[in-house]
Amino acid sequence: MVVLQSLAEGPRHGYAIGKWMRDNSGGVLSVGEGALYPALHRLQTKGFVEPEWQKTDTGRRAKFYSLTSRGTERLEAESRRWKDYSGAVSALMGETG
Amino acid sequence: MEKDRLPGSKARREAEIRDEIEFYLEERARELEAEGVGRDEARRRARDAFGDVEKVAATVNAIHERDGRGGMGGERWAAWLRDVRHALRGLRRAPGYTAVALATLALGLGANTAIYSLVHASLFRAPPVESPDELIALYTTSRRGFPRSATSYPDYLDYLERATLLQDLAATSTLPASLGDDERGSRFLALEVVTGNYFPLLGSAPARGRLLGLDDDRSGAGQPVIVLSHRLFQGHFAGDDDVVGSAVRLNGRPFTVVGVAHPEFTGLSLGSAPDAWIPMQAASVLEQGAIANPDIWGDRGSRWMGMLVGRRVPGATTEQVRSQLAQISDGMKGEYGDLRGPRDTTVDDLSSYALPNGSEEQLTRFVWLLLGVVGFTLLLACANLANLLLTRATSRAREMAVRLAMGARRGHLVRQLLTESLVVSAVGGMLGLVVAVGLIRLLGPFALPGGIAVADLGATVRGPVLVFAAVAAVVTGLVFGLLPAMQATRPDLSSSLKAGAATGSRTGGHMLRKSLVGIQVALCLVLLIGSGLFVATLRNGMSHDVGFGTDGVAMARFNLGLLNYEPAEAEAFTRTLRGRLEQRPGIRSAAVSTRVPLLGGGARGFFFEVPGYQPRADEELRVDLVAISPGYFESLDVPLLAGRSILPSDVPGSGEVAVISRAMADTYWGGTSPVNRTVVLGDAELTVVGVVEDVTWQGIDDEATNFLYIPLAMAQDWAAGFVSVVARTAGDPNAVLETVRSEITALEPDAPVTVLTTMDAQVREVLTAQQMGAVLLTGFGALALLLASLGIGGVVSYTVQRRRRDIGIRMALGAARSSVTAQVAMDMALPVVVGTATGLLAASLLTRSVEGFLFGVSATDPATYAGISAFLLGVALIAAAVPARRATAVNPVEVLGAE
Repeated sequence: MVVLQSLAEGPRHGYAIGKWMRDNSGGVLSVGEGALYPALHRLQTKGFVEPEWQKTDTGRRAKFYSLTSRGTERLEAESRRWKDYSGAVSALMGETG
Repeated sequence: MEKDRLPGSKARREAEIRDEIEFYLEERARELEAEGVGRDEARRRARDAFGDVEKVAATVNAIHERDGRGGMGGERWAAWLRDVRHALRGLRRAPGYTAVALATLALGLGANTAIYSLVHASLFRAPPVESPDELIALYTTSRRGFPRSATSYPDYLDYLERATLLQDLAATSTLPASLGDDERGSRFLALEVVTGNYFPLLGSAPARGRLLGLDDDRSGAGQPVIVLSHRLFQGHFAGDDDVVGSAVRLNGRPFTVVGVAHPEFTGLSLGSAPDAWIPMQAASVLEQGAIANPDIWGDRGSRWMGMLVGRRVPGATTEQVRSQLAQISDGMKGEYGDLRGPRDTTVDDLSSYALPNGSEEQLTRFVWLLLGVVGFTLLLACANLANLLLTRATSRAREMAVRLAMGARRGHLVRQLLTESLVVSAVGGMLGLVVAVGLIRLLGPFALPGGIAVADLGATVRGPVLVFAAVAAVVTGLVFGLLPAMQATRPDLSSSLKAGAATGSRTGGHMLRKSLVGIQVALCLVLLIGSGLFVATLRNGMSHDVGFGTDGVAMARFNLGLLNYEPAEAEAFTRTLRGRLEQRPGIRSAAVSTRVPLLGGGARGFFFEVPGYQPRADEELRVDLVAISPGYFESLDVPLLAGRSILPSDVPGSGEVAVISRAMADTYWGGTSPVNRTVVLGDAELTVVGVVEDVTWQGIDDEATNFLYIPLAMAQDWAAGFVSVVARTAGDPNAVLETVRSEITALEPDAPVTVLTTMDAQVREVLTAQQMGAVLLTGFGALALLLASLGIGGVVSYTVQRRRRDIGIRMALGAARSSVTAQVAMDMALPVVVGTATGLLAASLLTRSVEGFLFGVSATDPATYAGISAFLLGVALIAAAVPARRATAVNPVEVLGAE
């Protein structure tokens, strides 16, 4: 779900996704950066993202991933579910975190 | 989307993935360089942050292979193989855990495999004959109800004719004989005497020549024939093929060797392998034993044949055969009246070897007990390993959480974790095979109940035992791996992702750990209690007063019956042998007799009367008889309680005398002295001349019975069977064993000496099952204790790690070290106490099944139970206190500062 979100703003290659995650999650989700790739490829085989080899802004060749329409639907469904779940948990825990 | 199908494209895809990863690493390194890190350092850090490049590439490849091609079976295999390789790598990276796990598993699985091989060899292995599941063993019961007693020839013929549910029925008996061989040296043979249909019924194939057939078993069949066992053929005859067809001398008579049995055929009784087989009719020429009497073929009352072997007709069950024979037996009771008496029949399944007569239940129970012991130890080891894995899992919790968040399926993760434990288990199991082989060899000299040494069982780690080992390894891997795997992949994101979780004690993981400790304590307690009971039994057995002096006694058993001595010759033989032995240095006194305690022999169950004593209605006056030479009681150091012992002057003509046992004196003469009173034995009136102490004749739990000692000279044909020599030595009896043997053979070269041992060794042999039990239980009990202590210590250590903050705060607030230690250690109190209670309950139930092996101590002996429980609680306390105390050595400032 998190990966899909990272592509919501536009196609990115693997490294950029990882950096986005690191930067925006306050360092929490930074364990084993390599774990990103299997996730990406799984999303690919399920049809939620589509890869394409393109040139980066520095002129190097990289694999860019973009959301498919199925991917967009999936992202919306997942984030709705996450918001419900974490809301419930927070309410129960009284936000002591 | 591309669906790669061509092999070439697989390489291309792999190259693509590598490119992608390589790009990531370069970019990451660049980012670090921009922060001022040196190029090489940046590169290295990028790699570290990434994780295991190989693994990631492999996983991605797997994803495409599996999902790209639609998940065919072949891809499952490849994915699973990758899991295995990944697991192996993970194990290499955690050498501490791996070493502990492998050692524990090798021991646990190895012991279970070894003991199962004993179970299999004694209870399940089939003899190498045709369709062994169709075979049954048939016995006639004795008058007194002993289930597997002897059968007479006319009885056998009746069974053969009337049991229509049996295709065929053969009879067997055993007979000792002397093999005379001028070249290779004479030796003693244990023969099996069989009816002609024995080998045809079994369907075994010979290794050389042929086996016995119906034609060999007819009276007047020409020169008698013999079939050698393979062991005798290879051993004594050195595998010489010329021996087949040649003649050998049995008790001086010529027999023609017609064949050699199959190398794996050793008869049908466990642990007793005949040296050779001869036909029943031929056996009478040996003039040895009951079979020498020509009347036995027609005398229904002469019961001498042992196990009868039958083959069921197709479709008949053993139960049906049993009922049919019961009916036949009832019919026989009606027809033959007193000649048959109250005898019945016993039918056993013979699909596996027949167990030693009289010890069937004990042997069976004993081997299952051993398996239970090692099984418990393995369970304990599993609990330990599960705890270890739980600890490891917690350190990977974050990784698991992230992977789950990234879309990994829980089932896949669980499978990966399970593969790890299965791989460990498999390797442990293979190492365990080596342990098993070693353990079997180590246990070789021990004898199981019934007297069979483990070494003679032929237990191997092959076939069904190997299957058992494999199954055990897989089950073990699942048992200790499943729970931690489920635990580690809980979809419980919030608590795992929170940094610095310091309140771990109430999570499910901790409860799980404590329950595992409780289970370990219970298992350990059961094992230790069992061990305590057996050790106590052994101690009681060894110190039991057997009524005679067991140290410094050498003894031998040999067979004079083959030589047909006249009474005068026998008398001369005894005198000469005694004289020569007593002259040897180191031998203080010697005696000859028909029976020696713990060694066997002698005549049993004679009816007698005591003039003046009126027996009760249901009381049978029976006595066992031992014929002795002078010097017997002195050599055995049996105390003389009244009167005198047998003297050289007690010869035929000087009055028929006897010495009786104390039990007899007390029972029939009460308080008065039985000396000079009379005992009537058959036709003879014996005068009692002395009373001796009761002696333990067979096992340590013998009851004192009636014993009558008469002079050799008065016993008819005492020299017609086995005879024993006892010698009391001044020093170590082992030193004179050879002397005794050589004196016997010097006097009579054709009398094979079959037993040569010391009384100490014999006592040990009688207690050997208890010894084996004590050794194994103590060994595994100690192992269990170690594992349980490690388990408790491990959990406390771990808990303490997670509660450092709490402890730090408490110490900073001024709590005493000892009270904090106590509080932490007490966390273990509940599981340990519950475990102890459970263990005590389980032990009291389970030890009931081993009551038969205990001596002098009950299965619920309070002293043992209490003592062992206290011991275990003490150990558990120490195991919990040590890590707890170490933890309180934490500097509160450090711990708090780290937050």
